[in-house]
Amino acid sequence: MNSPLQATVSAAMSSSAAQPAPAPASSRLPNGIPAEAYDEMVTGQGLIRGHWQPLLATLSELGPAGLAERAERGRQYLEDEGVTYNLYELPDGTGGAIAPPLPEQRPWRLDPVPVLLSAEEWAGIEAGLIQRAHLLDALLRDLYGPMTLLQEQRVPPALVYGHRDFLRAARRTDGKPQGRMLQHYAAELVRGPDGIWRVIADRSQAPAGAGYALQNRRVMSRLLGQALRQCRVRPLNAYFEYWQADLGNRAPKLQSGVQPDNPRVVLLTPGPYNEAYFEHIYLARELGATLVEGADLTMREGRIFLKTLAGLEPVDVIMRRLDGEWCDPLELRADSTLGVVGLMQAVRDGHVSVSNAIGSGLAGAPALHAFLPKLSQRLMGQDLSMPSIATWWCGQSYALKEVENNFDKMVVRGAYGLNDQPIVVASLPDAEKVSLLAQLKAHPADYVAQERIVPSVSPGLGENGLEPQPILLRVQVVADGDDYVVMPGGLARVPAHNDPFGATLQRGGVNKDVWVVAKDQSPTVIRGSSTRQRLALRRSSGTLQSRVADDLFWLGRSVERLDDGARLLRAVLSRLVGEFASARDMVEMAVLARALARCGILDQRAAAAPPDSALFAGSITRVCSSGQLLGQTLDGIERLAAVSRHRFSADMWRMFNHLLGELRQSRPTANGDADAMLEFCDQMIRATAAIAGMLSEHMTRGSGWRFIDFGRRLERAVFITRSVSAATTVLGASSDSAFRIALEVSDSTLTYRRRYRASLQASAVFDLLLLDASNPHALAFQLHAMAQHLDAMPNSEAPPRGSDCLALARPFTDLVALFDRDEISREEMVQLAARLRGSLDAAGDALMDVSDQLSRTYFSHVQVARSFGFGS
Amino acid sequence: MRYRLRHTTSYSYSWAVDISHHMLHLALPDLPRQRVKTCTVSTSPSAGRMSEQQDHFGNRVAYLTLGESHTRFDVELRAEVEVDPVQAPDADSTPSWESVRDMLAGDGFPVPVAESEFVHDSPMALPSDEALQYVLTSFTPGRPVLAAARDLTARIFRDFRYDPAATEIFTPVAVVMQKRAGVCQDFAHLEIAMLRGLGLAARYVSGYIRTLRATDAPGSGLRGADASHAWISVWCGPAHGWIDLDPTNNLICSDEHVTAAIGRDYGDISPVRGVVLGGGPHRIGVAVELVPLL
Repeated sequence: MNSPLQATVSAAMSSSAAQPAPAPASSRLPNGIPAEAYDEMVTGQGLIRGHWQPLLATLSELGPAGLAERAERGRQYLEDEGVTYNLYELPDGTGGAIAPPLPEQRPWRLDPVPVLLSAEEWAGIEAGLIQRAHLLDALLRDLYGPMTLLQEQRVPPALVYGHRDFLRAARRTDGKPQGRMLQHYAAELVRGPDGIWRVIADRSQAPAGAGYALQNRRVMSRLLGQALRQCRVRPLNAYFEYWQADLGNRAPKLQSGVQPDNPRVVLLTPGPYNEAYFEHIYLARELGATLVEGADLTMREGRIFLKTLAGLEPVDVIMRRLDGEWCDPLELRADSTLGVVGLMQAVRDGHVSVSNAIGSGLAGAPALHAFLPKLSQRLMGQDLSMPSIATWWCGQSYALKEVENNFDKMVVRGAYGLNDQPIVVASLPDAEKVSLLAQLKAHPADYVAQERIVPSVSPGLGENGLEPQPILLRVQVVADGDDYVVMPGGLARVPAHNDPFGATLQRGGVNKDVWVVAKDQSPTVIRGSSTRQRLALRRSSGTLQSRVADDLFWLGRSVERLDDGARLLRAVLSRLVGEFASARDMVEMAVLARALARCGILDQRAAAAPPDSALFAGSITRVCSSGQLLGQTLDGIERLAAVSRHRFSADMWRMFNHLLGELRQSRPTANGDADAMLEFCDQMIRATAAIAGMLSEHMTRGSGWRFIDFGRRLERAVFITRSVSAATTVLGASSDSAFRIALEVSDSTLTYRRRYRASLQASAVFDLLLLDASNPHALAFQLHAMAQHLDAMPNSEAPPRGSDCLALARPFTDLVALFDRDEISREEMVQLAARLRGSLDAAGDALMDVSDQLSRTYFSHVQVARSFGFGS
Repeated sequence: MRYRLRHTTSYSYSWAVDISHHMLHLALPDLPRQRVKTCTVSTSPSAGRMSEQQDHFGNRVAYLTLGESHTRFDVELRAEVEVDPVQAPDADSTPSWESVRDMLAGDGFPVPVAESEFVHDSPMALPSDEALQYVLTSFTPGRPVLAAARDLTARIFRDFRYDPAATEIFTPVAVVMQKRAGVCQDFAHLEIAMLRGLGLAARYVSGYIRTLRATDAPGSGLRGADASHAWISVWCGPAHGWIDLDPTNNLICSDEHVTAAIGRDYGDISPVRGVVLGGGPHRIGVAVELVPLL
């Protein structure tokens, strides 16, 4: 308990800093960390390191309670912002009508106490990683080209030929040199007891973390903004400016030999199922790239195009967040639905630049650590300045012997990949040690052993206030022309169970911001942005991806469907939960049940059952369970909102997230009661109203908004035809009930009363619900809005046209006029009702045709490609 | 021996394909024992753009895109090719299989670098425990590598039934092992997986085998002649290099086999690979004629 760190921290927190602490009483710190661990904050003499002192002053001012309060504020902020990472679980096949549920999302956890690094030690890290990035890039360019390093015996062939990420299709066989292959690189660093930083892992595929680091910094500037300034912490923004500029500069030259003026950069994501999808959205925004999935791109004549509503738009640079082997189903994994058919061809032809180059994952093999010192001499003519942790590749007999002789000190892992489970030999029972060693000897080339290292510790907020916690650093590097720049600071992670090897983003743990102290007061110089051309003003982004438009259209439809369904349900339930249902209630419930069945919310058998039967009541309370239409609609909204997230501002997304979270929590279970269901109906109606308000207030009136709103209008128009049609079935017999229901489910009761008082008349009711273009719940209103949208869409000459929509309202003018008489006999009423019903049903069908035409015109290339000859 | 070769592949789709992309490993390569006199690959509908290049293994690979709507895709290879008979070494004079294995391992840095690529598992030729047991009967300690490989080839020929109905394009080695049946592709993957399991280098070869001659008695022809064929190639040390064995016919390949492409397994060198948009279910028709020219 008497550790130097705790003593000093509590001293610092209570009064002032820099008191010598008593010597350690045991060889272990409180939470099981060996005492030899390097302490980031406290020197061996128990003194607070100089660059930590301004922060400690702030922390002691705050006190434990203040710090805990900041931590909670940070947590709340991250939750509101929806900062998550997904537990990686790609569902087995994503086809079919019902989308699979999104994987469980984990909240991003941020410790409010950062890690501080001095300018001097950062300079060492920076230089070491820049050299390492150059080295790995040169290594990749050789292995994907002439492969001289294999002939020269610098790299064991097994580490190339046996590596799953050696993508043979990416190798240049035409003798031309490979361009830069590593544009973006991250290293996982650990500091041992000797105070030296070492690389524990190289991430060369599509390293995650840069976006999270920036997000962390933004949260921290809210929590400890003053300390951030007092510590003179280097800002992160410049790094992203470099990155953006470099991506643009990677655009292939035009035929005229010049760089395109305004190159189109896209960020290729595997989609919302990926663990780091949040970061993909975030980075796309930060780097000015269009967020795309493989299905948004197509290869024609050796070029890559983005499929937009306005047609195909050329793409110059692809920033890849998709692992290499999934990038092209024609030449790489045939079972990939995430890639772009023909991408490899476009790359070979030099018409598109992909960063990192496809195949770059090869450089991340842990076994390469053993060979980097000599490779650095060979490729760079320099000593390797940043060491790796000691690594033995068991494919060489001397290394295997070494590993065997020191087996208890080793951590064993796969030679190639990083998503394996490292095994700490000392933690195994004897029998398992023996079998592990036997396994190693049977397939030595598949394994590496690495020294077990004690990571350094840094203070973090634990359950009992500040405590020393082990940390790992993830440092980001990005190309800047022919050189590299390092993000000053970034991400530190507290690995679970003191296991520095287990710290991938997927396994979680707590994250920390890393503060690098500036050397002097000189402002950071940012290049890149100044050289950019002045932008011409544009009023529309014009290039909505077809797939995104499709998703937005269905988001609009789904939100409206939920609203309509909830209104119908509420109308039934409010009659059902009363103490005694009157005869009139019974009639009205039967009509409503028919409407529910027409809308697909209730099955035919339940809808035909007497409203006071157990079957009816049971079915009504189950309509939101997962197999039912409304349940699917709720799931669908969550999925569509998630995949369309990049179209919404942060504030809108927060609100969406909040509303959907509430709905998720209070969704009735399968055997819920009618009261709970009624309560949930109110909640659904409130939520959809909030979403609708948000969409109309905050979305720019571009194509994205048009597709959402078109979806909503179309769905509501269909709903009106169906609900009014169901109501007409009791016209004549119980006309008042028919009118009451029609008005109620269309939220038009108040408007009607204000105009006509209590007197219910057919022509007035139908005029208000079908023809009145000023009533937002009238059919005519929807058709007018749809027509306007269609006329403004990119392909406005193609069907469906605005005039087609307007034409759908026409028959109702005459029909409604027929009801405008003083006396209508019961028989006449029944006949008129049948005519009206026929026209309503025809209009409903025609609206579905409009939806199909829209799909054919705008979403037709949102098709899934199929492979054959390899995988069929 | 000189041959005229014609290989047609036809895809009929249930409905229109809007766009399709293809990768072809059809054009024949020149090899030490094989000289290509003429060779043309043509398609219907004709491709606007067909680009050819060398793949990582040195095979000729062509890419094409059909951008017009179509319901049928035909691709035809026509070639004239000359193949020399093999001068196979005396199997008993080849080095012991362990010495070849050790050379390929090279304590991490084998000298035969390019050959060592084919020691590693590949997606379609993954070994099973049963297969690894099976191979040991042939590969007894100290046995010359070619003698052992010939013995293994003969046992596969004897123990496994040629049966196109038994397997599909993706049947894994473990299943072929259990069923003891399959076609040329399965036998090749099986033998490759077994040899690699021992640490030896084995390649997958796709190509063609001589069609029945008019003078041959019915049923006496070679198996695999009606479609494209596949066999294996095993590395027998620096003095002898790669030697091709045909487990489907229990042969050392000589001038009755014409090589189209060489890879780790079928996945590397599938003759016609494609990705289509639309089309629905499709049927494939394949016809091969390899006629000796006298």
